[in-house]
Amino acid sequence: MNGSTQSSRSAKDELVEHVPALRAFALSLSRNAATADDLVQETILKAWTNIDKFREGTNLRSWLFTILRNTYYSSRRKLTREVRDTDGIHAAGLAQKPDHDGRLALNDFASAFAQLPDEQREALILVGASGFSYEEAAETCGCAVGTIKSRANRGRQRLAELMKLASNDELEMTDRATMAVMTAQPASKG
Amino acid sequence: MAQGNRKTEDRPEEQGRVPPELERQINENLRRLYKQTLEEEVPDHLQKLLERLRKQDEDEQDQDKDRVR
Repeated sequence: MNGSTQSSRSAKDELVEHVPALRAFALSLSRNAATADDLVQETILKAWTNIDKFREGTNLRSWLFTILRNTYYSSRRKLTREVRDTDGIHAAGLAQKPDHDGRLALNDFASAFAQLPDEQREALILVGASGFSYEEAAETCGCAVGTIKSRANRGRQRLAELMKLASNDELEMTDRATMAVMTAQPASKG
Repeated sequence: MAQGNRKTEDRPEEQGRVPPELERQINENLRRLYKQTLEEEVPDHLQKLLERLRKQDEDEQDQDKDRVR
């Protein structure tokens, strides 16, 4: 019993380190802060009580994310459509070129992002923000790598449309001022 | 497992990726969005939940130790 107790305890010890990431992932799925934390709470409970199912040496974050997304999708099947319109997300006013400090306000991006289908938001957050490889994301979501790639691609295309930066043509036609503003991104590394 | 709809992948706009600069911008925004929550302090109720679970484990272990004796 000692061996398995030791490894279960170390995964449990590590769990707390993943809570911020879980919250961020939960928020991208639920688009609602309260729901997100409920999701995380349920995930922590499920993970804790099922820790013996976690294979020591494998990716704990991926395992936790899988629990969280499964919880999200099964709870969503029970809920009505009202969760779609959360936190007063407004679609109007998105299609504007940046006119202030040279960046699209994070709000606008967040609003656009919130409009994507679940699977696309999920794919983009995993590979674009959480640092998952396409293979890790595919494993977390229980699908093929190609599926993740196409979801991520479609998500980016949709985001581009929503932020009115749709195609190469539009990019070329954009006036010089906007072009300067859009490319003047600070090269900030995470 | 089938790789999605054939006809979807045949459409040119579905096949291509967005321009690299745009993809970079999008990833930058995704990371910023994600980072916002990542840098928040973990809410009290979640911290307390973890403490409670740990305490539960300790109590169970103490009980086990007593049984062994």
